[in-house]
Amino acid sequence: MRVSSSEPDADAGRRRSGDGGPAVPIHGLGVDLCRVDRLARALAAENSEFITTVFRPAEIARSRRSPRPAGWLAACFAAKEAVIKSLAGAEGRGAFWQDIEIEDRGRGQTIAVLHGRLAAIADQLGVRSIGVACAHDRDYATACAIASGPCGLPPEVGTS
Amino acid sequence: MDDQKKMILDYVVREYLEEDDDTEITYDTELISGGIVDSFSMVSLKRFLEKKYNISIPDADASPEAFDTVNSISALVDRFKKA
Repeated sequence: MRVSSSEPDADAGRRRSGDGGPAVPIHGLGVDLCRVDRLARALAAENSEFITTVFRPAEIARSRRSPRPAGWLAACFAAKEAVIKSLAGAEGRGAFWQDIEIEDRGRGQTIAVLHGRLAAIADQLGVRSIGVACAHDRDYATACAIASGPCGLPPEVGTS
Repeated sequence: MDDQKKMILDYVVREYLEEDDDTEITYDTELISGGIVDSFSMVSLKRFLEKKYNISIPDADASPEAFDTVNSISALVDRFKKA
């Protein structure tokens, strides 16, 4: 499942806000906040298990291209938490850090790609798409995610 | 068993409470729902348990409920020590 609030949307006209079209069924909303210094400390630790436990190789590689790797990873962590919270019904079924991949497409576009067990749970829940947005400054990173059902955003705009 | 619970409790107090935080933590204190251990801290707590007791806790079993009290954490450790 690969989803984004910013991807091309074939049904955009049908779902335009305020146009009287059918409402988008929201499955769940998630938000999270993360202190950047926590990631800075994890990055500074020699052989940081936190980083390799939580983040996928592509996410770690992406952070290294950022002028502020800790800020980028803090936003990535917040996004993962927001995605889990948006999947109401998935919380409580274990840890999913590696099942969520956050991709930065540039120009503010953020993509959440679900893998493995969490992708299967999202399918069971009827979630077809998750919109994600992130932001970070020097001290804090924040993210929000909106999961929508089968009549919401398009089923998928890619696969994993 | 009590040694194991005390070890876990001592780790939680040492790692997750500020020095000036005098919150009393017992074996039944709600750590996650009580805001003492957050999802970020759960990563290091899980790794601590795996190293300390030479076990592997699958992600599917690392639920907030399983990590919510020292008693539930100790029960989780016991499950995988026996596995």
